Amino acid sequence: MSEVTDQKASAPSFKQASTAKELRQNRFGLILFVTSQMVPYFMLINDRFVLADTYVSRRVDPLLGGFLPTLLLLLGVLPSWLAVRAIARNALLQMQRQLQLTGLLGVLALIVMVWPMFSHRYDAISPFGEIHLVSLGLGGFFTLAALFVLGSVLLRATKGVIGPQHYFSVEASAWVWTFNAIAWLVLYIAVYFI
Amino acid sequence: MSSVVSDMHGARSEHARVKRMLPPVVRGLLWALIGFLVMNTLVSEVFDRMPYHPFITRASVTLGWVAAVGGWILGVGAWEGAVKPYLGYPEEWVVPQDWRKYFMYSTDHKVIGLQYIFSSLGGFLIAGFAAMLMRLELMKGQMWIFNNPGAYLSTVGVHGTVMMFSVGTVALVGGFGNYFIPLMIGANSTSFPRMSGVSQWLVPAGIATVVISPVLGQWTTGWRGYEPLAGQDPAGILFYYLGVFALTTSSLLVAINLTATILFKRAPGLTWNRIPMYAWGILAVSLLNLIWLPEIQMTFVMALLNAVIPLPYFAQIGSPLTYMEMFWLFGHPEVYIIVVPAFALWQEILPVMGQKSLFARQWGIIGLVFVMILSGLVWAHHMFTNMRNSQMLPFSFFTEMISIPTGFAYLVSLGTMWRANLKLNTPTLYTLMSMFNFLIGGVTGVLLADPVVNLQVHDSFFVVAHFHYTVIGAMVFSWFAAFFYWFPKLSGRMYNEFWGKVGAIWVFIAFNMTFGQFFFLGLHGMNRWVPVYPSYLEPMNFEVSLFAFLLGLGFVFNFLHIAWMWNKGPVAKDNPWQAKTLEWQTASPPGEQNFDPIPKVISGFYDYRDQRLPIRNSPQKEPTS
Amino acid sequence: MGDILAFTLVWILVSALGEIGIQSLIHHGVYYYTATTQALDGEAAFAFIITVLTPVFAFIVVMIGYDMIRFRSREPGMRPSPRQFYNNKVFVSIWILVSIALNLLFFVHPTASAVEQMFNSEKERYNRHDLIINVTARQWQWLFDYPQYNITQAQDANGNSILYLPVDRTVRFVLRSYDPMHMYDPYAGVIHSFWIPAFGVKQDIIPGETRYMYVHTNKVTSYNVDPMVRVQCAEVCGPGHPFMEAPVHVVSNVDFMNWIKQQQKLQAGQS
Repeated sequence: MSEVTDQKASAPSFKQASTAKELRQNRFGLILFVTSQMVPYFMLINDRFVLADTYVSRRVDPLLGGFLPTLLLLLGVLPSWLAVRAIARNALLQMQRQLQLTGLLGVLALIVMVWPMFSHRYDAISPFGEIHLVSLGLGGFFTLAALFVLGSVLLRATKGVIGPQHYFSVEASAWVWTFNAIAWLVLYIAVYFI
Repeated sequence: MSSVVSDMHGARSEHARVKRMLPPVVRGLLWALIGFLVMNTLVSEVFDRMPYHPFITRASVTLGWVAAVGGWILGVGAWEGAVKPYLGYPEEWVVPQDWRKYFMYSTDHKVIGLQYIFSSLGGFLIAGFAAMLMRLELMKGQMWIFNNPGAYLSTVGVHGTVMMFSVGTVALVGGFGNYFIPLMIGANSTSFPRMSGVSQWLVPAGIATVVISPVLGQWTTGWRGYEPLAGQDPAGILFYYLGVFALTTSSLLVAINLTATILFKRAPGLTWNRIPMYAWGILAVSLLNLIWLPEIQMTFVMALLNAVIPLPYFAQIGSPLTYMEMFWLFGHPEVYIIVVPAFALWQEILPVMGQKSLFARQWGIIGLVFVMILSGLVWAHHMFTNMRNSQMLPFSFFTEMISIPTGFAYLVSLGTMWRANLKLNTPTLYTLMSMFNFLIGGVTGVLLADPVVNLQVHDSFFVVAHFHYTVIGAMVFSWFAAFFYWFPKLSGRMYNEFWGKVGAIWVFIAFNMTFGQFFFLGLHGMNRWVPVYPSYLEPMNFEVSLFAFLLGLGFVFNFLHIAWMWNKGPVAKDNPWQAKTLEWQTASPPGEQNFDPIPKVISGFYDYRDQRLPIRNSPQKEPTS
Repeated sequence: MGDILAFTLVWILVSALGEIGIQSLIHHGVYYYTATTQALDGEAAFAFIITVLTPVFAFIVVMIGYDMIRFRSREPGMRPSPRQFYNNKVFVSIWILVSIALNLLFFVHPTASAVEQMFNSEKERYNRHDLIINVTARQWQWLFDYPQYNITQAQDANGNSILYLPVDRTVRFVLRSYDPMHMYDPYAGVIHSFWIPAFGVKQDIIPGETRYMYVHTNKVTSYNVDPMVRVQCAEVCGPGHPFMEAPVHVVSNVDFMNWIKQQQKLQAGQS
């Protein structure tokens, strides 16, 4: 929930053009938030070593639950930043197209990452505590949050409040997306390769 | 801010006149109720039906709570004030300029600051009442107020959780920080006013969640939610995790907002060298919050999954100590989150009341920053009783070393007072009392840092006394110092000096008589979390309880004094203390615009060699501002 | 200069008075009652720290008091102090050096030295003839087994758990948390803490792990002599936490062997 409120409030005023300083300030606030959200990942990766060492449940599919979402999320980074460049040139339609592409990739990623977890039978007395599933679940939660942010930006775009003078929300969604993609990549490497 | 906008357009927006709605707080409660019922029913009756389908299950109450908090936030005004305008609808939120503005979503940092102050005050009174119940029970060695130990332990948990997460981390940061940081750095608003407006309303939600948690079942773990015991507890522990989650989220958003405000909203001329001490304190605390609050939130999410799914992370087949490590990894920085703003306040109040330049200012800043850095390296001194012997020494080392930067706060304060022209009024008294109390907290902290001593006094009333000296003794006393110091600024009126001093001396004596004796109770074998204890400890406990009641009454007396004078006190001058910091260079209380125009800072704020102001307020209207 | 002199005199006076008070407190025993060498070690460390810190404490308190009285403003309004200074390199340097020196001192002694001394007793070479006691913490009861004497769950006449120890002997407590009497899940354990206040040391008991605590008894005493001679759970472990205590008796070797025989007879009768 907190991610979303942060996005909303990052826009200092909804209609006026942002000054360069306001833009820097918003970017700073957002990066501060994103940085603080790296802490749970650090923690979970460490906890996983404590609780389960390097064990990965054989019931988790490394292709569906790991590789495919990583690929899809990383692919989504490109159009999200292309969208920022598009709106800077005042190409609203192009921005919407790019964001929709990102969103599509995100939905696909979410489906493939949730699928193996749904079919997975939770083992309440596993000595390994299913900790890797919680790690991946955190990634899933953030993917959902990133999609939520993306959706709200798309909604805003239809109301005409995004323009070449005021597009921080687009940039914010790109930042959140990039953070999520990188975090998932790190998780993927940590869970399946280390 | 919305009201500012509407005023700037000359007329109130039409929507304000035609649209009638419930009072926002009532509407928030209603939406929260609806949200809870809908989500809870969906989960418990449709998606996740349990055998014998109980209406409230652990999963349904968790998700229902999320929906309820969402409904509450939107209902108090975030819907019109934040969500709809974000999505491109016209802004329809009009804040009336009377008492009602404190009971609705607002974007004015002064309103938000006061809302935070009153939320934390409410938390303080509730948790203080719980403390009174505990002391009443402890007057006798057997059960007599509570009819079972679980009820007593739940009370302990509510007391500790509400005090830590809604008073300790909020009162001086979300409360006085939100109100005074923009004023002190010469800004008219914080960086992210909408986020700030939303984050405040998480505090009452969090407090209410923790306070009603026993409805779901007793939880016996105290404020730490220790696993694996928490895994055994009835569902009340869920509301502990969720309530703390709301409160920590609020503090996290405050940290982001105030950090960005200090970095980006400073008035022209307010260079890094001139940043006020309180802003330095808030900056240090915000960095701690940004690192450690997500950490504890993730821990609590894991513990929540442990309780809801359930998973065995922290049971015997998992790793019980991992929870402890993760909790204290946050838990010790938490102590400095509480006390660093208090240090900063000493350094803010003493130069003003002594009318003397701040002594060794750079060492004060170094102290605040190094306390912040070292606080992440000491957590395991909470675990001397269960860690390897070989691991004790490094943690003991860092714990002892943290007293060096902490000492700098004393260095600066004492140096400032030396040869000053010290006004011995209520804020000064509270500041000096806070210094005295923290000194006792610090000396006993050195004892606790010593592993051999720690193995005896850990988990006894000695530790209880120690951390009450640091939290009440230092932070709450500084909180009162701030209340009285900034009283003319907040209310435009002056408190009564005589009754202020009476209140200060009252709580000081009662506090020291209560918690000073705790040390001896602990050394004499009184352990924690017990409503029933051996009878040889009864006489001392009985008498300690009497002083505790006196302390409780003293706090109530102070709040009554503050409330009375807020309305009836004599009107104060704009700058009654002849202070040089920026918040005093404007009207008291400040108008809707703090500064018009924004002042230009031309010198530091702690130079009392003469009475020149540190700002140029441009009588001929500088065009740049 | 006069202020500094006056302050120093007051400080020395208050420190001296403080030391007299502290020494009489130490003489009475800051731990109230001790029955092991470990408790004496801890008490000595405690005494050393408060002795050294008394002048430091007095310095700050006297300075606060001195400032309050000597430098108070006597006029109604606010007026800048005529004496202004921003720094005093000598004072700051002394302050920093003294605080570093004190911390290093405390780290060397008593922290490191006392830790060394206390945990020396756990070294293998010392522990050839320890009395071994298996301590089981269940919710909410202490169970004491004496494996060297084939005694399980030592009890008094009323069936309550009881701990008997010989005097002048190193005792090795083997601490585990589980519930042998649980109906279906003996491994449902929580964290407890094994504490005998008069023994000056405590050790948490973690479910799934085996922990050790060593003490060396040094006087004949019992719960009846001083109520601090009791086992008490110090870590909250659920609603029954306050009731998780057991009386301790430290007796002479002869009495201890008599008690052992009596327990063995009792157990033989039960089985």
